[in-house]
Amino acid sequence: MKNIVLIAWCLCGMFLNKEAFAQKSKTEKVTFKVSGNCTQCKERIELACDQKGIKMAEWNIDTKVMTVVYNPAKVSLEKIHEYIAAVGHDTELKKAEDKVYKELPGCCLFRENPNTHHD
Amino acid sequence: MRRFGIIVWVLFCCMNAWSQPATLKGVVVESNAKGEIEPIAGALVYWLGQTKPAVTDSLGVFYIPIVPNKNSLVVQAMGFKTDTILVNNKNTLRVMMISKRNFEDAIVSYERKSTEVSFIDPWKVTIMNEKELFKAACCNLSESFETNPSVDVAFNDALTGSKQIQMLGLAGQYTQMSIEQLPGIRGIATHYGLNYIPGTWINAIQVSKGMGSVVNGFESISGQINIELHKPTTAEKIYFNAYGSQGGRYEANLVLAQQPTKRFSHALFLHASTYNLRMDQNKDGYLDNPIGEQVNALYRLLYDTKTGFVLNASLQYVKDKKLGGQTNFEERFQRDSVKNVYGTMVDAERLNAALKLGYLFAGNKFRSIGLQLNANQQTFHNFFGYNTYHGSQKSTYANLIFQDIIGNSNHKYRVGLSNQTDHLTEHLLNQTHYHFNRNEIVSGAFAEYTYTYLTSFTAVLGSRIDYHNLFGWQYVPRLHLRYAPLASTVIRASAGKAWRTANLISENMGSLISNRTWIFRPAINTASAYGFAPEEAYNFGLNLSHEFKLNYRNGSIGLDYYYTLFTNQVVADRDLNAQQMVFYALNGQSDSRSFQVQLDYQPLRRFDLRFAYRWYDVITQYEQALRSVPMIAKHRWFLNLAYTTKTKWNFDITSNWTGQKRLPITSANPTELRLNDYSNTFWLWNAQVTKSFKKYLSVYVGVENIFNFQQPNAILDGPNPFGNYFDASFIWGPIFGRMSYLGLRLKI
Repeated sequence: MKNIVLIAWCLCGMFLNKEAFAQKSKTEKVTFKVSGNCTQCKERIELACDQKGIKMAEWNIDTKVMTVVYNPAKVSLEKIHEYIAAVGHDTELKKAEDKVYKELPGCCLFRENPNTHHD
Repeated sequence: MRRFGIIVWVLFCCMNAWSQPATLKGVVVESNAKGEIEPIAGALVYWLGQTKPAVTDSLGVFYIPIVPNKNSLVVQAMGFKTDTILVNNKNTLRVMMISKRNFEDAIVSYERKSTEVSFIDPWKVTIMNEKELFKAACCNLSESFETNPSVDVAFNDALTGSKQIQMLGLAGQYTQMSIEQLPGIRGIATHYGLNYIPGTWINAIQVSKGMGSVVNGFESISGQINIELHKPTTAEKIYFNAYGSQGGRYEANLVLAQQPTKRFSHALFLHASTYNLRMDQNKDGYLDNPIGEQVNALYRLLYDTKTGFVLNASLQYVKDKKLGGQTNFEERFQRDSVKNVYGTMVDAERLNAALKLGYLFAGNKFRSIGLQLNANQQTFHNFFGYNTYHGSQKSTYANLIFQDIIGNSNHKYRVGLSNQTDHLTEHLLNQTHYHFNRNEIVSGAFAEYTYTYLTSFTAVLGSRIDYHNLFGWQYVPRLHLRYAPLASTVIRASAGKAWRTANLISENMGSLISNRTWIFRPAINTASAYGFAPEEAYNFGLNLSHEFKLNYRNGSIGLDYYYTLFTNQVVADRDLNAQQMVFYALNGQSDSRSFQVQLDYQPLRRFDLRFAYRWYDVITQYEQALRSVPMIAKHRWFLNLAYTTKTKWNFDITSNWTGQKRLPITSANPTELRLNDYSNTFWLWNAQVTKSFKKYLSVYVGVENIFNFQQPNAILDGPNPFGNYFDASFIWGPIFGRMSYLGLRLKI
């Protein structure tokens, strides 16, 4: 029983101290708009940001707002926009190439059909 | 893709020739918390690509001029998900119902975790989906729990290869196993039944500890495990899986699904497996795994009229035959009246038919009526040396459920009637010959009321009353409470009662692989179950789930404590005498305490960590003393690491540390044939690598028991199987050493 109390105590301590953990990193948080339609788009956009130096990337389907937490020493903001544009999605700074855009599945063609979904 | 709840109803058609130019008339409605349909005023409706919208009036009605070449209509309303509807016949009046962007939808847009704990349910349900099941590539249900710390899986004996699960430190029979909420593995199938559900067929497993809902019956004491198979509507058209292991185990699974019309869909599940290598890694003269085959087929169909009526039916057949024992054993040796070679056989056949009918009342989505029917036949023809067992069980089950709300969806209730029949015939030829014949008919009624206060509080009060033809009236009350002080934290408490008839022979079949004499000491003298009253227990549980974000990564922590108290139990005593298996009614205390802590966290992107510790204290008053129940490890540590690369390589490592287990007393045996009081502790490590190619194909290779730990002396007095001291039921660790396997999954 002693063990259990000890473990519980350690675990509690671990997440009560989360603020301390978070403060250490040298990251920056930015938000910008990215065009897209559906959950498939979300998956694609977030996967594109699965890159070195990017800690967290989340795209909101409703607001189209992209939230990225990254380490500027390892990756530039411009590069992040490039990563997203490279998979076919337009960002505030970078437009995707038509060639890549046209390859997207029908439901994701945000330039022609903004914000539709098919179930 | 999930349906988002957009229902387009055609109410009636009318030509609107009177309006020029052609106009489309429609209504925009929502279904509110009471399930009623209400108009939405002020919604914007426009043709895709055009900007001029029509606005709905106070009755939700809109008129929009028809534009040539435009057929996608966009509907936008505050607080609702914007939707686009394809209008094919521009003369019809349509009613559109658009649903709120609800909580569930929000979950879908996140990356789905492989194991989820529902935060909304009043009971804590851990959902293991396919992604989780893939971590343990092999093979049937019993192996699916390798990555779940709540469920312990242990061998029944050293020869038949069958495994049993434990929850809260209680044996498998105390967990209610259902398949799609219908009675699954129960009765005489408990011991081997986990082998009858191939892992590839499973879509998800729901595991919950403690008492379940009264709607699903009175039997669950330690928990419920519900298995959902692939649905014909969502399954891939063709799903093929092949598996082969170094141990000579080969498996093939095929799932075919088809949806010929919008209303009708069906699927066929096939499985064949074989063990054909006579392996004896530990050189004890006995096969490590039995040899044999299994064929298993299931057909299911789904018919949905789209007007509220749904029919779901399935039919399953299983034939499983396995031979084990000494390495040179052949089935024909069993016919010798004086046996020289020890062998075991488990020959099982199962036929199951299930039917579910549901009707959703139009205009009120909370009112529905459901009928569940199930019929099952299970037979066994087993032998273990001189011990022979023939068993057959025919069961039927019917459950009628009506659910509705009182006023609004904060007050929900379910009421219903159920009937369960079991006809069992069992012949046990031990030193004494036993013949048991038993007919059970249980009819009952149940009611369950759920009160919800916002999202923070839920209370479920359930009770059921059943009449058993042998044991009379039985009353079962249950209470579940859920309180979420924060969106990320949930506290749940449960209390309740359960009862069941013990199936003593099948639940203790492992002990037939010994030279123990079976003795039943009935407490009451009726034609009841082996002379015993039903087992009865109370269970109390408390658990906490907390989700957190640390360093931008999601994590969760779960703590739970459960206490189970038996007020009536049939005690299986192996301590009294090492040459006897004695059954008697509990006279005194029998309870189980269980504690578990589990931490899930993603320290790096695509890298998941699960860490758990669980503690059991299970004690029973035996005839001689109050003792801890044998073969249960007090402590267990668990670690699972999973890493996925961007290129879809998956790496999984699972590690378990199992503590000491008390072994049955053998102190009266000759010195060299005595066991220690406790088993050794051991580590078990499994690893697997999976590579996915596109979405169609994945190939996996893995190693079980990497550090090659094998239980020493798995069989007591193995050289003399027909002597007094032979016993293969003292199994506490792996029999098989390091074993590698290879498999593939193909989805089209």
